[in-house]
Amino acid sequence: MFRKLAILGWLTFSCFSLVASELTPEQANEYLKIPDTFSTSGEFVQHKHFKILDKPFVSSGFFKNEGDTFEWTTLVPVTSALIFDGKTLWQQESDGQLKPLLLAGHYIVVVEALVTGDIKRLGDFFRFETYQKTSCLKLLPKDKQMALIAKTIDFCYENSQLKVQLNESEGNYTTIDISLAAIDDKTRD
Amino acid sequence: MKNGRSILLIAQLVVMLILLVFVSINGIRFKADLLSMLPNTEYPNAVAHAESKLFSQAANRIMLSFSGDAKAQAYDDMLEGIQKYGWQAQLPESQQIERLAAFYSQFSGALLSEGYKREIASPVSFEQYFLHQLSQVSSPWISKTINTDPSLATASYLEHILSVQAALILENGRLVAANSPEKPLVLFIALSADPKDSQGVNFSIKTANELSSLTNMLAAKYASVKIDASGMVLHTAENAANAKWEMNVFGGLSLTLTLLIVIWAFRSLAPVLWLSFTIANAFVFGFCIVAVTFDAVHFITLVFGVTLIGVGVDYCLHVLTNRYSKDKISVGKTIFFAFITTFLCYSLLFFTPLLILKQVAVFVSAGLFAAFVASFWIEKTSSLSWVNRGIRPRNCERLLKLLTQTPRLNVAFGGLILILFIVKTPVFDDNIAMLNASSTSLTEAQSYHHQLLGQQGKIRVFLYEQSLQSLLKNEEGLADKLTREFSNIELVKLSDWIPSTRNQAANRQLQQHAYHSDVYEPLLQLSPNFKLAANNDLVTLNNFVAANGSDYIARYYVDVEPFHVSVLEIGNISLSQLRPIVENTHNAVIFDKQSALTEVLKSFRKQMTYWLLGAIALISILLWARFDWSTMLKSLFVIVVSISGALVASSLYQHSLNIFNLLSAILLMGLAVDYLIFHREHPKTNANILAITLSALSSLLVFGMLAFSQTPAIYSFGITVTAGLILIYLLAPLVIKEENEQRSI
Repeated sequence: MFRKLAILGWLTFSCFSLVASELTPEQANEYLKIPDTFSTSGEFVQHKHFKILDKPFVSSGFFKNEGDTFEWTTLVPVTSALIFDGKTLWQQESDGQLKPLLLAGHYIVVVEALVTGDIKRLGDFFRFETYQKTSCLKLLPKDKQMALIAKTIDFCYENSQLKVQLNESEGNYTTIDISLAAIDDKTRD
Repeated sequence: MKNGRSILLIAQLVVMLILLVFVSINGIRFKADLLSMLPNTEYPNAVAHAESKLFSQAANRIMLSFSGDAKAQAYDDMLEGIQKYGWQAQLPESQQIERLAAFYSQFSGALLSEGYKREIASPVSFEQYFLHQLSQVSSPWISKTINTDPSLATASYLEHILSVQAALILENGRLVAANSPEKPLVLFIALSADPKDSQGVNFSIKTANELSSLTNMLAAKYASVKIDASGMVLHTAENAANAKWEMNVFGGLSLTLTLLIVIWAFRSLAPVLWLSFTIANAFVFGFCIVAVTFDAVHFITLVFGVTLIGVGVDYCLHVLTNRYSKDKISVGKTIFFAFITTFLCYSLLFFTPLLILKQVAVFVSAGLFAAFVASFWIEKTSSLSWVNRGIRPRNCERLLKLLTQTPRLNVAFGGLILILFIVKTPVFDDNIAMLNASSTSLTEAQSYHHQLLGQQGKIRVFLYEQSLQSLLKNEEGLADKLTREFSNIELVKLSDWIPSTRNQAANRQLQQHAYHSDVYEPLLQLSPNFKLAANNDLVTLNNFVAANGSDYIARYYVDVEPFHVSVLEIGNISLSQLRPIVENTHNAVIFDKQSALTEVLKSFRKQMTYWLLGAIALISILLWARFDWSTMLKSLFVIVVSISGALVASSLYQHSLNIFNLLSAILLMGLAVDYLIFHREHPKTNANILAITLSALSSLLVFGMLAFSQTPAIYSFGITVTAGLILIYLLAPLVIKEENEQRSI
């Protein structure tokens, strides 16, 4: 009887370890093996899955990081750009004018860290957990405000490709597929 | 006669005892906030009450900001530290968007932002808008509301109302000042559940000390972090601590020095006891009357009350010098006449609109009465001279000669002062900010916090109506007018959160029209079953408050029966641009407390000038009636020169004068009349000159001390009275007549 219970306990523990084990940013980096020289610019394709819409809404564009400035530009289906200069987030209007976006200033930092695979930075906002897929991590927001972006984030790195899934509220979710535009030779801190 | 004086004293002491018991049973409330004692501005009652309510809410709160490398750690330590004092951190509602989204989603279509209205004007503009919104990488308002409102109207509305108040944003559970480059962290602390508790002086001092120990501890731990604190409680604590210290130090010092002079002059301790009795009687009686007459005793009243020592002691000094000297002259009638004139002068202050001066008037008038009663009794008591070694110096002839031998020189000196007054006429600055007694660091912290909250340069407009819907319509109408005329204007208002029902109904119609005009075609392609919500529910104050929305509108809405009052915060516009539009709006006023109080002080100063002139005329008549034309003219000369000279001297030191310099002129007049009467009424005796000299010295000690105060109101008062006293002492002997007749006294 005791032996059976011990085996059952060991099995439960092993399953739990496999399903969810919390990692430090260093362990997470080691786990996904994202190279230090991962691109800080690339292209993206975004699929928005809203329960209310019969089919996903697809948009695409590119992003680039130059010095302190991060730019997220959507080309399809409409052209628009978000520019973060390190302090303020600006939205570029169709006429080229820049409008500050005060409320989303700190979200863009997270987006930048997600699409450039900056796990150290992501560690400021999320806890990391492993789950079924060996090439993926589950990101859990450290505070409720960050949970407004997504309740959880599936963050995967496979075949030199990043794939991010934002699991939002009400059953809605967004997937972002990142493909590298060019390998940046700058080494990240 | 002697029995009559004793009965009067006993009656006064009995009244004082009864008042003391009454005050002890009911307790005394103290105040230290100078602003609360200023006159009411000329705003409509509804607005004044609303502002007072908003002010009380703010009085219960402290704002802290943290900047520097380790600001987050310092913030977290502070959060932990405040718990031991039972203070509540007003942490932001991290689920506010979820809560607001859930609430506003129920009224889909009734709430349209101005931007959204423009987008649904045509299918093309909506298509651009819709595609742009859905292309965003992340939008909390869209993901929270799209399932209940795919038209994105609610998402747009949420983004709009949260953006207009985006001075503070939430990051990792902490508020961050978004507009400041160093992105300081901001923490609001609620001090007690009952806002009335935070008005107490002792509570304020205790709170300020506790906060100071916390910030000092954090400053030592995190050297790179700068912590700034602001709040009404801190102003109250600073003012109260100042006033307490000054009252104790100035009161104690002037009393000690006065008593030392008395001991030296009389070569006996007995006069010290009589003087102490007179002063104590005056102070306690004055205090009891004020405590019974007013809801709360202001600390500044007590600081001004110190002047009572200087004036009250005069009566007793005259009695004592005459009793201790060889010249046994009764001074009863003289001190009565002196008391009446000074009493009348101080009573004038009661008719001023400044509550603080009403308190000073009551305090000093009652105190003077008690001082007079005590001195009146002392004059006839047989137990006066335990040890009578006579007064020192034995004769004041030299001093008397010095003061009286050169009347022409005195007149010339007076004339010079008048010319100087005309050439260098003192300038008054009525700006209420000039009376601010708070420290520079506290004032700077407050200004910095205003800047962080985006309130610097904002103008507040109050609107009031008996019906809430009329108020909302009025507010929307004013906002429309302003937005049409000034495209860059910034507006934060109640109707952002709760639009009028008329506006909401119009929004629904507009959206229906857009729907039937195929504006929503891009949405229908993705969601063919999309239909506008069929319900007709509207947002109301009741359902907004029921959904825990009160916090959002606390700064913009006040209910003061029978009025509803709203506050518009307007930026990017000047007062001169705004004024004509607000003046043409029904039940709307621009609320600028500082300017309004400055205006009140200005008009009050003008009134005071007329009162002062009237009082001088009244005194002149009294002096003419009591003495003669010559005495009246000479007295008028002395009073006018003393006041003019004191104001010129003050303006040379202070650069610009304020209302308190003028108020001191009233006291100067009272003191001058006392000296003039004593010089004119009595023969040129050693005792008389010594009594006047001792009076002047004691008054100088008291008012000279006030000139060292940290509080602008008090040092202004002290400087003018000190300068004036010196002039009165030098010029008053002009009224002495060689043939001073012995009056029947």
